Amino acid sequence: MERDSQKHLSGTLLAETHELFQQATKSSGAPTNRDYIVGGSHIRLQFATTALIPHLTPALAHLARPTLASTPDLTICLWDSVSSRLRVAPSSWFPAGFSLAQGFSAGDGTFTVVFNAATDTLSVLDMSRRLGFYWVADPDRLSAAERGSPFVLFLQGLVCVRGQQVLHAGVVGTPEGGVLLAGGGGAGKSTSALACLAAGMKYVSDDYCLFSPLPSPQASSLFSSGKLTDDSLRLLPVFLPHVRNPEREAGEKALFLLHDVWKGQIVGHLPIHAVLLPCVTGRRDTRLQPTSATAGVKALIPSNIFQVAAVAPAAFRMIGALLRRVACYRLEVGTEVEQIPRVIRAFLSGT
Amino acid sequence: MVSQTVAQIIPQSRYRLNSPTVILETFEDEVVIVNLESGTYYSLGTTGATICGAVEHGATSRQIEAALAEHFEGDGAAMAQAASTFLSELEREGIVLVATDADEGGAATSPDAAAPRQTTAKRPFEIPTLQKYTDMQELLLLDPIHEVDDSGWPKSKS
Repeated sequence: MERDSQKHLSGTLLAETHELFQQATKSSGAPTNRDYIVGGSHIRLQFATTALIPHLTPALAHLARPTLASTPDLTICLWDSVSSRLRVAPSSWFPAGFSLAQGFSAGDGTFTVVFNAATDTLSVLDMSRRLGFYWVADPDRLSAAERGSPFVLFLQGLVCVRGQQVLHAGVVGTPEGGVLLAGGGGAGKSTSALACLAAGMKYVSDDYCLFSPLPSPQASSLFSSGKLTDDSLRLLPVFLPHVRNPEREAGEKALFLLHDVWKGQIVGHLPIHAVLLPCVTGRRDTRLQPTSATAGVKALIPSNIFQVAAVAPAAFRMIGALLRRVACYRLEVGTEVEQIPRVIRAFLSGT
Repeated sequence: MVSQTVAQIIPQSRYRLNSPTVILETFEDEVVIVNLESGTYYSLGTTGATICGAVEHGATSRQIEAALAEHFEGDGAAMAQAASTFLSELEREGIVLVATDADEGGAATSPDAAAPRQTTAKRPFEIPTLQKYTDMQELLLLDPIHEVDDSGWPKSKS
């Protein structure tokens, strides 16, 4: 009964958002399509108007393809209320009395809905129809995180059926292989990843990558973006001219879109040879110290297990499989950030 | 007075993993456990991993004691007491449940099932400990993942 009820109501929400997307499209005459290949999957972004394109596509520029003839594995329909002049209240899409004040996420693995109250965005994904809807009230209110790493929810829903997983982790390396940088916010993932990029190393991600456990651990690129706190930006001034959000709010990270400047270093995928857990020590030198597989698992759990509850067991198993296959090290990050790529490069040349 | 647990009173009693709420991964001598409902996760050292592995394989409390005696050097009674206390802690945390007749399908069918860990030289027995991590709970409160109510819609925690 509960499942039937949810199916009925999720169907209603899908119908409502589909209808609104079509209405929004009328304001431009026809939707604008953008095609991408992400980890082997064909994704089509269908924009009702062009307003969201400059906000949401630059981070995917390295994965763009000319319009493909194949049927997309996932089509995401996008619109906003400002350019379409379609004023809607998200609360009207939900049962009476349902509070959107805090935002929420819910789903059963096939159907997922997430409302972000802070940015006034709604994401609806129905994997049974390979269809997603993304609405935002005002494109200018999109956060740097949303512009730098768009559609994480949709990508997670898409790839889990292929035995892959979106991992919250950085990945850098050499043409021969890479390391996965894991840890919570402030651990030093982005600083380490972008220090390696600045030193000429290959770059897959600083925060989200697509992980495939078989036949051997591999990470694929999702976003050609990077983010740094103001403190880390001072350590890596090479990125200063490329900040896309100079008037960001206090506490918001500086966003960089890397495709244009570092195109040759952004790679589609790298085999993973080790998991590194960055930690800022305050000492001058950077060094690697062996640590346990469970330390790696514990570093990956908080930001990877609970994002989409329905896929949590699969994500946990995949993380476990990774840590059984490759060694784990603590990356003790020193104050001389240029040592970070040297240490990682030396490690990879020895593996 | 030391309170007795189900495992002490009935040697043939069994616990079972509280799955699917609880999931675990084993790495050599350690185990990491996640409670998907609470967001709490745990790590267990060698002794705890041995006990948990035996529970996972449907061992009775007597078989767990036998598995400990096989893998560790120590006083049998003290190891049994420590195992019993540890199992109670796992039960309080909702990691294991007392198995009922309905769970009999998961019962150990052989001594091997009760002691699944590879046999190596015996180690000195250490009291099993449960390291508990609640940082995920704080994240869940900041970004709540809501329960689905009877109507099929998530219920706000406000």
